[in-house]
Amino acid sequence: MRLCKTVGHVVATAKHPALEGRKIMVVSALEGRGDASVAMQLAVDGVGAGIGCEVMVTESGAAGAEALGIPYPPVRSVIVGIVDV
Amino acid sequence: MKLAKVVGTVVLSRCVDAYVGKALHLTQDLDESLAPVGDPEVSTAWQPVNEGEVVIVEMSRESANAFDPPIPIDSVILGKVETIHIEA
Repeated sequence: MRLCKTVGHVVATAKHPALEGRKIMVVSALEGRGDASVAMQLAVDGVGAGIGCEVMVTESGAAGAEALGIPYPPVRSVIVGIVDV
Repeated sequence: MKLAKVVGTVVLSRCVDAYVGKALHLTQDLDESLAPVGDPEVSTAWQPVNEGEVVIVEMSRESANAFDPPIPIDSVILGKVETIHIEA
């Protein structure tokens, strides 16, 4: 799991059923904010995070499955917690 | 999971049976300013996508779960992006 900051969100109308009704956030590594050498990182919001939150993101399919309540989700990037700052 | 742009298609002359009928696309990663970053990769499309569209791409083993039954892929296009909102 890694700590990130939510910096935005994307809206996708045509998407996989596993993503229906779920918010997709743009997350940026705390120390890598604005780094142009990495692709824009996205994560499914599993906890109701807003923009500007420091969050914990899992990159494990099994952990994501538990967090989203889907047996075999096609995603591994899931926001599983909001850091209390 | 990351943001990418569809920049082309890939046609295979021979492939494993699981790929038959599946669309393969070249996707180019985009950074937060929507500029290309890194090398293009091959992603399987879960739904029809067109060249030039901005899409959501998931990598690794979990991408196989986009299909039922799962197929041997490690990159899948999960959705088409309508809008992107980033706070400065």
